[in-house]
Amino acid sequence: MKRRNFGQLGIGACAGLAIGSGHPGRWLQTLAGELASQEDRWLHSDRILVVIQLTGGNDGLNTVVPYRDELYSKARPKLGIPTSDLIKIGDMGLHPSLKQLDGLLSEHRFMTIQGVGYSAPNRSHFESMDIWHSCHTKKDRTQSGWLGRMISQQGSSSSDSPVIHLGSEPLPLACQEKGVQVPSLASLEQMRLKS
Amino acid sequence: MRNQEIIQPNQNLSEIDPVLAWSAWEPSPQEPWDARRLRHLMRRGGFGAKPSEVQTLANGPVSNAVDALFGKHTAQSSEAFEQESAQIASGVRSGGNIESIAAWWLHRMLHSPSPLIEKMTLFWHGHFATGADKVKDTELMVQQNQLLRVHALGDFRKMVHEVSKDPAMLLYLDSATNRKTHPNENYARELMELFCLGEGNYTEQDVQQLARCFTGWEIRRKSFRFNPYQHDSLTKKLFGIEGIESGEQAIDTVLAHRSMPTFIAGKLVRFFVCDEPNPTSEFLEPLAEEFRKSDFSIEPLVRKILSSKLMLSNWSIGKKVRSPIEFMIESMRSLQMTSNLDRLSKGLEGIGQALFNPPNVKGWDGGRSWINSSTLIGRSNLMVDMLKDPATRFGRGDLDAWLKSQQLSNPDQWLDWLGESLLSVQLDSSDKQRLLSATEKSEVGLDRWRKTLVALSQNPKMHLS
Repeated sequence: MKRRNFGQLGIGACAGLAIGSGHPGRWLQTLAGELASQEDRWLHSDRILVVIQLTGGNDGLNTVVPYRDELYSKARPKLGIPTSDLIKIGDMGLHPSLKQLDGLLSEHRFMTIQGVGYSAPNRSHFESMDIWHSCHTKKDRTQSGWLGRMISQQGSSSSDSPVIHLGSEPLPLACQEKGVQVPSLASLEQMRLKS
Repeated sequence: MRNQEIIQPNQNLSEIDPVLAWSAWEPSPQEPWDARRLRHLMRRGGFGAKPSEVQTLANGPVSNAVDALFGKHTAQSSEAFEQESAQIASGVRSGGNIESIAAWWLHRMLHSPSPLIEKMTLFWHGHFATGADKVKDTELMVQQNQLLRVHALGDFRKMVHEVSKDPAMLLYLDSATNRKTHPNENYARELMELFCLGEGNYTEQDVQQLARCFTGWEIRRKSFRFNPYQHDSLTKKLFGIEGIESGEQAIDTVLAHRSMPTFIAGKLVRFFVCDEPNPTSEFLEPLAEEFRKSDFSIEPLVRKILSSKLMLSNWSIGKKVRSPIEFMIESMRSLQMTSNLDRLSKGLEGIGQALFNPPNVKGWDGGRSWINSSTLIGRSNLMVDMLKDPATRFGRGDLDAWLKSQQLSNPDQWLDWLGESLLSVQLDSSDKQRLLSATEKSEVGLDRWRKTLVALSQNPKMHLS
């Protein structure tokens, strides 16, 4: 799916949104740890964690706007969003097109995490995405992702994979781990074996 | 003598002596030069062997088979092929749609008398990856494809210089916004990270300095143009070297970096020899040395890799996952199958390899990433679609006539033939049992012959090279 098309689907469908550039390790590790520790609860309930990865560039500063910071107007002298147009959340403001998130926000069902990064970044897109998916700053040669490791650690009581990847791109690194099989599903049609 | 040593199939790459690995392979009682090894070489260096090639080339010396990949001694057939290819090109270019251009290229892969040239063009397309979705100009994509083909086995430095001025590349990596006052770092970064040196061999400052060297490199009427008014003409410093001014000087400086030969050799080894593990720079040193010695000519380096002990020993057989293109084109060449190539190019897109639209500037990741539950089913389904397509022919006739011409008269023989021709890792008796019983029941749809090929496409061994 194209990122743009997803945006048009309505962002209200989205439960967690991470914005920014940088080190995802800690909070994703925490999330994975949290999920693993509550294994019983989530394995035996119908709740499903949906992770939506919008791959590509996004102007983080104009998505969640630090409008009170004078550096903002310096960084966005022309493209900056007028303060009056923003959906304000304390010191921050959301881009006006994100108004559907306002409802979720008031119900405490939406949060953003900013300034995610790693120290002394080399600004390679590919390096950043590898860190994002693997939660390892040091690129160790054995490639494994945070979701893949989570499946491997908690083990699986059935032969079905607890994680499924929806999309036509190759399996994301986040879902990879030795001995872990995460199925990829582009469309139901594609899963039908022709004869 | 150490050259008599055999590389054992289960040996770790780290335990193999680099000098031994890259020395020329020679036949031995344990590793004879035969049809199986010939097919392995033709698979990796080209798109598989045609039945006619197997006998002739397996009976001659190894060097003849390597020469055949390079298209030596095939001047006549080459002329006829180029005429046919040009005819297809003129038909599709005017239409301007990228699937048809992809079909034109697939025709080249299927029929070229110099398969290595097409394989290397594909390698460079993944290396200098450029996507038609962003370039939005079919003509420029074809132009770039020809550029990659002309230099496919030529002078690497010359190729990098020309790619840097190639309109499709300039559009893809945003040269349009690379102005004196606001240098765009995209091309500068990828030239070092992906095209020449690899991550970790330059600093952020080098990226900024290099971007300034390329300011003013623009496109005017679909061609490269240098715009002195947008060029930052102050001197720049790269890797600590002062006094660099022009983009051309900067490219030469990047190309002279000590990590360049190792980086290129490593990518070629992954493409031709094994998906995993990544070889160390010590292991690649004999190849880097060859590359330096030939003044960065690509042909001797590729020849050394293809003729090497590591490449031709049993060690490397089955060490790669077939790309979607290899899976289909190798099958079609072996079966002398021709078909609707527009349909094939769309089908390949569906299983992860859209020609002229690699996923990003890093190209296709390849290896294990080719295969997931969707693409595995997709590969089998594409085989079904191609077998059912009304345009499909085998050696210009139907499958029955072709099977007769190959003297294949029962399913057992047919399965053995397919196994020998298409697989690098042979089927065992339980594989065969399963495949034969899966096709036994005559149902509606494909006949048993075609079903056998489809069932084989569902076997993991079909996807190893």
